[in-house]
Amino acid sequence: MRVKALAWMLACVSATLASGCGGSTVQPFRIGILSDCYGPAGGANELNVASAELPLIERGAKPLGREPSDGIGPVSIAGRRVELLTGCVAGTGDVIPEARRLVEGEGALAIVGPEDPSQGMALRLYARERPGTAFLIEPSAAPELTLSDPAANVFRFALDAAQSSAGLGTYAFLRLGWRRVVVVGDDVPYSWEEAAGFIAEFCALGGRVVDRVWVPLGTDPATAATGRALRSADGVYLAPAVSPMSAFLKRYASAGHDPSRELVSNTSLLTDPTVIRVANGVVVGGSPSLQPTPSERAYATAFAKAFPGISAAGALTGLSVAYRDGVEAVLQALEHARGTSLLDALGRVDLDSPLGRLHLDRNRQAIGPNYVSRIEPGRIKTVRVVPDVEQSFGGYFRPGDPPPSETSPRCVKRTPPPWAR
Amino acid sequence: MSVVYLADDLHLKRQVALKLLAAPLTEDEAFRERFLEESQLAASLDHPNVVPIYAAGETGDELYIAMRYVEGQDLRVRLRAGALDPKRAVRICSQVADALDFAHDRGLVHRDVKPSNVLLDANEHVYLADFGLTRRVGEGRTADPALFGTIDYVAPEQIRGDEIDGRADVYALGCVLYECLVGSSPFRRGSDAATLFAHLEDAPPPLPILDEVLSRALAKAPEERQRTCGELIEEAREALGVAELGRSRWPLTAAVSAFAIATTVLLAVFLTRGGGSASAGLDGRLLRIEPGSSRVTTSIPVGDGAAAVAAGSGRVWVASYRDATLWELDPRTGAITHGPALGRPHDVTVHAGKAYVASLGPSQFGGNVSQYDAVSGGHTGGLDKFTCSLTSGTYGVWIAGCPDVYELNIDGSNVVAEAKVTIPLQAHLSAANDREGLAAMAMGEGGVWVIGDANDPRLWRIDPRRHRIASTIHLGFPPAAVAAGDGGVWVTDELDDRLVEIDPSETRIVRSIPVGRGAAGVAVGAGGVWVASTIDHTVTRVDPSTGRVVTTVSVAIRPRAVAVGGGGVWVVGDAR
Repeated sequence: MRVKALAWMLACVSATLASGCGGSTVQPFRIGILSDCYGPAGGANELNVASAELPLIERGAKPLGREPSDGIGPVSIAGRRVELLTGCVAGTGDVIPEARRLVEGEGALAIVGPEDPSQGMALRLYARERPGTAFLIEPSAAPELTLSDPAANVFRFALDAAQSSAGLGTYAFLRLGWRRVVVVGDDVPYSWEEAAGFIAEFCALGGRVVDRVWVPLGTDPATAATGRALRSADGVYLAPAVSPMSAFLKRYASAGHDPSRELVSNTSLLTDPTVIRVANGVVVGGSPSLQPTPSERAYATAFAKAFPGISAAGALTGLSVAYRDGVEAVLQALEHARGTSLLDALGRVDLDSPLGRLHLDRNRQAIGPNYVSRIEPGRIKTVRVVPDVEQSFGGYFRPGDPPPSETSPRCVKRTPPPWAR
Repeated sequence: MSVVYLADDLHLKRQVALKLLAAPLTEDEAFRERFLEESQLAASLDHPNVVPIYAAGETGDELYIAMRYVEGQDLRVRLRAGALDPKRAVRICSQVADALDFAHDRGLVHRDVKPSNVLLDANEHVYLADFGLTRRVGEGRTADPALFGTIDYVAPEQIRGDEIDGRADVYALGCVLYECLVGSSPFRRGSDAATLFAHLEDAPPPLPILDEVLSRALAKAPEERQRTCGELIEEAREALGVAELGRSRWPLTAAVSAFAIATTVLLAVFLTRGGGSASAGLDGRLLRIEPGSSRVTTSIPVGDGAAAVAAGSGRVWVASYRDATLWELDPRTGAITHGPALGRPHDVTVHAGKAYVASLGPSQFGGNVSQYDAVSGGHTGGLDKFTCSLTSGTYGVWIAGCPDVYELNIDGSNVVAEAKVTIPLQAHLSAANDREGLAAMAMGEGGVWVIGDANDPRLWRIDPRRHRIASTIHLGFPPAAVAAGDGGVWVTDELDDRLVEIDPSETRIVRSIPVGRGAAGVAVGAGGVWVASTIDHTVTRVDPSTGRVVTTVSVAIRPRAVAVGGGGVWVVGDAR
């Protein structure tokens, strides 16, 4: 009995340092993540959970099982026990109930996720009801989440979809000399949002969009490769979401165009890996960098060490890294809060993300780098790191603007963003 | 057909996997003889990727095989955590291919290649197990479903009862490779019969990266397939840009392939958003509440992610999204049966002796409405259409196709979506191609009622005879569910924990009734309006005439959906 009693006392002493024992009122700080664990994007759930767990592992937390979704033990930060909870959403209808379960049922004080833009917008409704809780709504990429009517407790340490095309419009206008462009993409919001960034930059510099061709899912995008508008344009900006684009490039080239001079794209072009056989010289824009940076390599190494059974390459997507960055930002805020509120501390976090240095603007939206790369034989080379990409593109996007759509934003000449050089 | 035990070999002091054959098979003398002969064949395979067989025989009335115990997990369990990255998928499948080609070279065909027969040790060394169905090439044929392997991976010629050779295993390995990369088998359908039919008739689902390779491997005619499993793997390596172990290949293609697969999976979220109410819980349950006493009288396990329930035609149907199953209860006898759904089911309704189930899939961006005999459970028809929700009643069966609503024209098993009514969803986040935006439907009180989601919180009343929108109500709160009956239209507010009553004739909000936290599903009938509350774990009964809460029932689940019928109030949710 004495041994047991002594062990209990020792346990209390050490636990008190972390979370309070024997009557302390300090509650654990719980971070909840929202990820799709069995819906359309459920295949990435283990990656997302692992990414969220990595900052805790780096601070000494121990995995509770073989798979990331088995959970992870607590850590102590600034004298407070920190725990990670997982929540699952497979559709917009799940978001508010699941967030409420984590916050009101499980006591989460910060939420990170979800992936989907619509789900993020729904979560913002709930965030307004819980002003004391931090919502790091990422990677959910709808620009209007933070651009228009932002909530004071909503943060996004990730670029929105428009920001992730920064640099491409400048490249097309200044390097390739385009003045007239046709935009071709999947007819889905993610493509509209990515195209919005290209249009804003290209048009601000004085370019014109002569046509926007949105291809319904299930339709062969190659049918859009020979339209009349393409013949009168200097080039094509491609914004696919998931459609394979090899056939488009082949048909575009066979119509007499040189894709290396007359085509730029978002990085979703590489969803179809066979495209590299016909995309020599094509320039693509997005984040993370396709030519891994030292910080990306370091992250991949740390990830592989923590999760040897999971593809570190798969973890280096903007979607999964956003879970790491969200949890890391919360932990850094806790470490540096020093008596201020978590929300205030979060606003001051300057995050060393695998994707580059991120800090927040007044609307708590990330400002960070984007990458423009060229597909070359045997490699993808970064041709420009676009620094400090901010959400408004130098004021092109304004609060209250219609969100990106098939027809929005309009193409007008304005003051180009600072990186348009 | 068999049970595998972890057993101790008392002579050699080692653990072995001991497989005992099921009794019905052991009673078949012909089978016993063939089993013993085939065990000897399998035991003759000495290959690093084949599970070594130590002994086989019969003792008493039982047939057994003793083989190496492989500590680790099988590929089926591994795939529950999601698809594999291309490099890993190819690494695993290439070892399976080595084992199969080794067997084929010796005139043997495995015939039951599937993830659960692929054992992975701690270092992911692969052991192919269960040569229990192995046959010599040209040595007889069978079309007995019990003997031709697992139907998700079975080659068309096996189904037809044709003579088979190693190319049947090529086909099965193609199915396994597809499942490794995508997370689901390529021809999985809502019933065994539909799956077999798909193997025989349907084209493989598209997988842009591997289209050419898989269209060969999964060709209906064996002569159109790769000649060996190794050839299949080599073509997959080439297409995916995945280097063979120990060789240095073009690193760009490997990186791009990993990016592409990851992006394909991840971007799917932007395109196919589930309209169903999935929850994070495990262990689905179906509860019956006795309307008179408001007591829970029955609690029955159903599939994970139980999302929808419907009662009618003397049966209760449950759709479980997470494990893609359908459950049918006979409330009089308590008998419950279940089977696989055609995709991931998220809504169900019962009408005129048929159950209609809305599911996501089975193709990557697809959806369907399947029709079943409500009593026998047999699949009777359906249509391929992405469907957010559905409802039925006086005006037939209606579906919300996001954003278009249709009345189903049903002629026996012929189901056609007709009389389109377009819902003017807000342009951006609920746009036509966004495939989401209509959260739920109901029928009654002179209309078909459709609610938007949190990003477009409106209620539309459709005139079911004229097939046009009769009125629109801006709700001002994110709606979770809708029901119509007892003089009102009832909508739950998932943010402020209210049941809101709408006057169907004036289409305005007339009453707001506080209910438990996390208001979700709602149903009308049996003298009440019943509201499920997911955070409080309660079901609230409201008097529809007074709007007062009559009683609140605590339930030991997170209740998601409610239905009334068959003498009870039926609630589904997850036990955690």
